[in-house]
Amino acid sequence: MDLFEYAEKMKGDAERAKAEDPAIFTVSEITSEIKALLTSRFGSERVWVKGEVSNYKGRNQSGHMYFRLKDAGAVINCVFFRGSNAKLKVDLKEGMEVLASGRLDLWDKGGNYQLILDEVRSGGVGELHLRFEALKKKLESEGLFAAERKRALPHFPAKIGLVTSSTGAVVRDIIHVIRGRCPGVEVLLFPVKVQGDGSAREIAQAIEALNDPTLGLDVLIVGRGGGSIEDLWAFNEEEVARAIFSSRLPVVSAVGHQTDFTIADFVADARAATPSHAAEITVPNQMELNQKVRMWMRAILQDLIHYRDLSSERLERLRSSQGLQDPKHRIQARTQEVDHLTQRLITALEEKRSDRKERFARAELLLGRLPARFLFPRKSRFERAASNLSILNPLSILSRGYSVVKSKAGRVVKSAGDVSVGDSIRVTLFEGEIACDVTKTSKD
Amino acid sequence: MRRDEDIEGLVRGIEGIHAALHEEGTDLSDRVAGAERAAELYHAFRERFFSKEFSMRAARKTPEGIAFEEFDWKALDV
Repeated sequence: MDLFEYAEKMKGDAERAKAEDPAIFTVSEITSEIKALLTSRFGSERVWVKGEVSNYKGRNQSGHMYFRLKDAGAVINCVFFRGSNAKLKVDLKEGMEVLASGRLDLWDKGGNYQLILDEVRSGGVGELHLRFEALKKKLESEGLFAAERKRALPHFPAKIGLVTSSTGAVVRDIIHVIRGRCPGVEVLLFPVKVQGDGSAREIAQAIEALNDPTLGLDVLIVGRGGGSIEDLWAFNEEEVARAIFSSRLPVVSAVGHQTDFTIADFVADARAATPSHAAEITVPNQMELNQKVRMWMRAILQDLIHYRDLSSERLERLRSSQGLQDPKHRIQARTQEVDHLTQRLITALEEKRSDRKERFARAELLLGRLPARFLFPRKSRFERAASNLSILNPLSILSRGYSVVKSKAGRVVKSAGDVSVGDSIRVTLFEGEIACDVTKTSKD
Repeated sequence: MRRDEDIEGLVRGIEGIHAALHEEGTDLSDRVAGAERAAELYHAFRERFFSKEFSMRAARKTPEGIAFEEFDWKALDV
């Protein structure tokens, strides 16, 4: 039996032993295992469940709701705690189709799993919401909402494309604002259905048609007035989102009210809270702009007048100055001034030299007048010191016939014992040196 | 140059001259030339910006495709 066969045998033995001796769980243990399994699959993930409300009894004394969601094949217990159900916007009823979201949990004491709810919507709206979220996620992942691809709106659009219904408050509001702010702007309306079947297709086609460069448009406004989520739904369709994304011209979305957000808003280059707001952000305010330009023009003119006055003043000063009136006189005056300064310099230098000379003569005189009693003791002390120095001077000893003998190493030889036969020695005389070799030594 | 850029160019031109004339060292001849140019731009700006009246056309489907025709916006009681 090789090593692998032995390992297989061991594994088989362990499995047989396990089958013969199965693990026994307590109820708590098995419940805990199930809970762990449930948690590992869903964790704290929020799940959406579609179903029919069943066994609904409203809020209990504590304000919590307990009911079931069911469909043809299954049922699940639901708990909607007071803190969460306070925000409930629909009036739940027995048998009502709903879309509920929450997290899955296992209630140990009751031995059943349940959905802890945090939100419940009525079925139709709930489904639209799910479609909205799914499309939003998809388009976002494709980069349709990316901030870096948003284009700036033109500052002075001359021609604006408008995609909306030709009747109703929206087109009226937009015309009203544009005429009030910048009446010179031309509007090209592409009337479309803004809700119901085929509306999304019409909106997308209108955006595409207005992008025709021969129309000479600068920017597009796409929108409609407020309504329910179903009413606004065309602006949540992928077809419209892609048409906005593909638009050559910048697009301003103006759908519903400030609180309504559609997919079109996310894709558009700018989102306006209302159609009127769309017009405001698209066209400049003519009066404000004109005021600003007039202010610049006034400043330019004032600056020019100021500078002209300043220049005139300077010119007048120059004209009336003596230099310009009698330039020869001015040059003569300057020449005289230079002569005067030169003379002052020469005088100052001479005065300085004469002063130095005088000070030197005074010092010389002072030295000559010093009393003899002051000089004599100092003179004899100096002569004594000079005599002592002369006695101590080695040269004066050498001059009397003495000499100094030094070894090769430069040491003074004071005894015959300091040298040996054959050593080289140097003898220093009063005048010059002699190099000698020792041929004989004697201490006597 | 597109039309919106045309008006923007006029406005930016005047703004630029306004800023330049405040710089130190600009001499009189430059100031006069700047003011003359600003006056030209301002004239063009007013002509372009104020001469036109609001107009609106609407698309209509025709057998040949799409046609744009005058839209009676006054009928909307704006």
